[in-house]
Amino acid sequence: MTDEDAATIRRLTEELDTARATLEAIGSGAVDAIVVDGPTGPRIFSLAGSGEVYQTFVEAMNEGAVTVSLDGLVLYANRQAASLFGVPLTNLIGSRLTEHLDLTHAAAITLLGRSSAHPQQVAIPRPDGTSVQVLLSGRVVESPEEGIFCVVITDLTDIVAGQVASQRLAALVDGTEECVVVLDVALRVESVNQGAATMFGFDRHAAAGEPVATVFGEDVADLACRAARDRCSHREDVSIRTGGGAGTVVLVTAAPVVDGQGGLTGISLLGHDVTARHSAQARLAHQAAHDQLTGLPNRTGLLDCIAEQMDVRSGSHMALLFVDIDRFKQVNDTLGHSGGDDLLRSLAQRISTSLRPQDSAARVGGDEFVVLCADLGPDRGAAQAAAVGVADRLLELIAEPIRDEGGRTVLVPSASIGVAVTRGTGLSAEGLLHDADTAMYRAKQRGRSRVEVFDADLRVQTLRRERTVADARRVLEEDQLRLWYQPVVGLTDGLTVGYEALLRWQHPELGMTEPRVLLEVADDAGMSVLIGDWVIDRALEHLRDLTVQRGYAGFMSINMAAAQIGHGRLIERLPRRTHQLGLVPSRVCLEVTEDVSLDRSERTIEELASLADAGFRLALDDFGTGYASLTHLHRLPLTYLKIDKSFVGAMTAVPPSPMMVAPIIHLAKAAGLQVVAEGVETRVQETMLRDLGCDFSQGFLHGAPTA
Amino acid sequence: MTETPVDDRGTVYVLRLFVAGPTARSSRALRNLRAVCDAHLAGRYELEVVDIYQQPELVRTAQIVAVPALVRELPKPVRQIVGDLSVEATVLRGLDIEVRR
Repeated sequence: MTDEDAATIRRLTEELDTARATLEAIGSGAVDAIVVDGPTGPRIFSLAGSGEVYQTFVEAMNEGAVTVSLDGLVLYANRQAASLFGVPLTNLIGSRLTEHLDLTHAAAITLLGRSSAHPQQVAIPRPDGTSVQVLLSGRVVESPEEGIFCVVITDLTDIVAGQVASQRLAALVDGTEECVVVLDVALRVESVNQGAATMFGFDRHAAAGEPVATVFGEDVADLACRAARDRCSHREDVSIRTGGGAGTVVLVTAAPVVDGQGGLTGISLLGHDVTARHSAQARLAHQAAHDQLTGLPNRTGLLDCIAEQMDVRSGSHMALLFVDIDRFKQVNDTLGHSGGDDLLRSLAQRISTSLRPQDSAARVGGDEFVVLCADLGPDRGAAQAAAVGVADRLLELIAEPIRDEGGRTVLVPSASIGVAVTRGTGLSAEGLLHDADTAMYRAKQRGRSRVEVFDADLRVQTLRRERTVADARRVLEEDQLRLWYQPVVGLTDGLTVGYEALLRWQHPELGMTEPRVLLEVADDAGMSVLIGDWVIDRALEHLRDLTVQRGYAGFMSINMAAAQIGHGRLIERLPRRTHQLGLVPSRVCLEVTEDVSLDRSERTIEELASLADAGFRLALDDFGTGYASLTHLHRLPLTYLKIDKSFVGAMTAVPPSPMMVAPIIHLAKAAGLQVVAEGVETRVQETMLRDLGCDFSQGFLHGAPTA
Repeated sequence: MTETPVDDRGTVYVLRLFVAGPTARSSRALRNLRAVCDAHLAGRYELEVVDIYQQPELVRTAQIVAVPALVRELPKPVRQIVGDLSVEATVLRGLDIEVRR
């Protein structure tokens, strides 16, 4: 027998022994299962008592499961346990527990013993260097042979992470200055952060369990109620009125807190301090509705007040008093702008203090104030009388003289007041203001320092005027203006020395008309300057034509409107135009009325003086009808003084009127002026004027105005 | 267990115990095996325990018929012992371990 044969025999003998021993073991019931090869792999036949059902559970559960002998040998482990320990399953079963925990044998056994009383949290170090926090829940099972530990291992990774996250969240909530509050379903305070306690000014520790209204006030409680009722968040600004947070404005958002099934579990309150934004807004709103100088409401604020009063619909009347300070431009000239401002402040003060509690005052323009008198009763007549009474009292108050430090009177202010009364229906706030303004305008026209009431007549006039304003805007584009020329004749020689250009309005319905109505509304229509320019251009062109075509050498008189003078346009434009047409300034005479020199500022006088310096002649027109005095004759560098036709007519009236022409001529001569008499219609008038020393004459006697 | 210590006697034993779930017999077989190994193969054996329910794929290659079964992978030839390994002499003989007395 070879060695090889001997080895084969030995191997076969061993296999036979193994097979015999296996069969013996099976036969004696020493096995749990029999494995049979099948076409799809091994099939396992469990024998009674092997606990397959339990094993299925154990393998299916999320936790790790191990059984450990009392001396620390791992007898069994499921896959989840191997995964937690970070080792292959085959290396876990049969190993000692101490190999997988950083513990001595004794400590590991103690740990397992304790885990059967209370779950024990430990860190499992893994071969890859990481570790995992687990909870060991053990139980000692006494078996017939020996006791064993059955241990369930719960992965705490997610829970620990959750704890860390919630700790961070808690730190965030505690550290923030924002207000964070949770209420329970009964709207009692469950938790508050320090930010909330500081913002609302309460003791954080005393707040828990209190009703929300007690801690945060009714407004917040209302917000929380609505959030709970509507199941949606509500937010609004809440003003804290009492306690440590008083004066603070908080933007509070109340939102329902719901569980997974949508059930309400509480209300969350988030609060953000918006005090700064609020006060800025309030300041802006106040500025928008108030006049900076006097602190009174401005036009916007007034219109709000009126609209509010109209909304009350009490059936009681209200009145607007439109107060315009007379000749305020002159006040500014006299006192300077800061003096003018002081006067306005002083007047605002006077007006405010004179009011009844239900009245209010506003400043609606540079020198315009409005007083709103509310609650004047159901009777219109009585209401109007009361309003006029207030207006009269205002006139008196305003007329209090302004004195300088030495007690000398510097100025006596006056005002024109228009009153409009309404019952608050059928008229807008704007409309009422407009009516009062119109009445004020009539007070101005009727001599200032007086009170006028807006009535039916005024309404008709207003409508007519508004229509004229509309008409005025079209006169230039529709070519409705014409210039007619009237000769000015020397009284001694009867020669024509000049012409006056007179404006005529070719009205589309009324025909050729006097332009007085047009000129009255031209300012309102914004047309004064444009019409003035047109007149200047046409008159200069006509002068040029007369010169070129007929060898005419006299002058052309052009009437100036107040609005044309004083802002530099005339001095810029007139000399240029004159030069362009080849004319010399001395052949152009500018006629201004007394009002121009009275009502206007220094700049008007300066511009007229500049024109005189440039060679233009100046005439004071309609002398005797206005308020001009000797002083004013000296302020303007005049060449001519024109006597108004009413004085000329009076010379030969029946019965004769007092002779005014003689002193005027004397006065003009004394001032070194040449005198032109207007409206001369008869030879008798001509003779009388010549005898009085008048230089020139203008009127129907010498020729009507012609185109 | 993961390392394979080699002592002066030279022979390293690689053992694989197949069990069928956490039965009393499995535990008994495991305990008995560890006792034998710790007594006679201390420092020169490597043991893997395979639950045939958990890892049935390992069963076929090992040609297992019944469990518990101990397979000696090394040294060659491969040997197998079926049962709860409660008789130390049988285990020693099956693993071909010489016992010096």
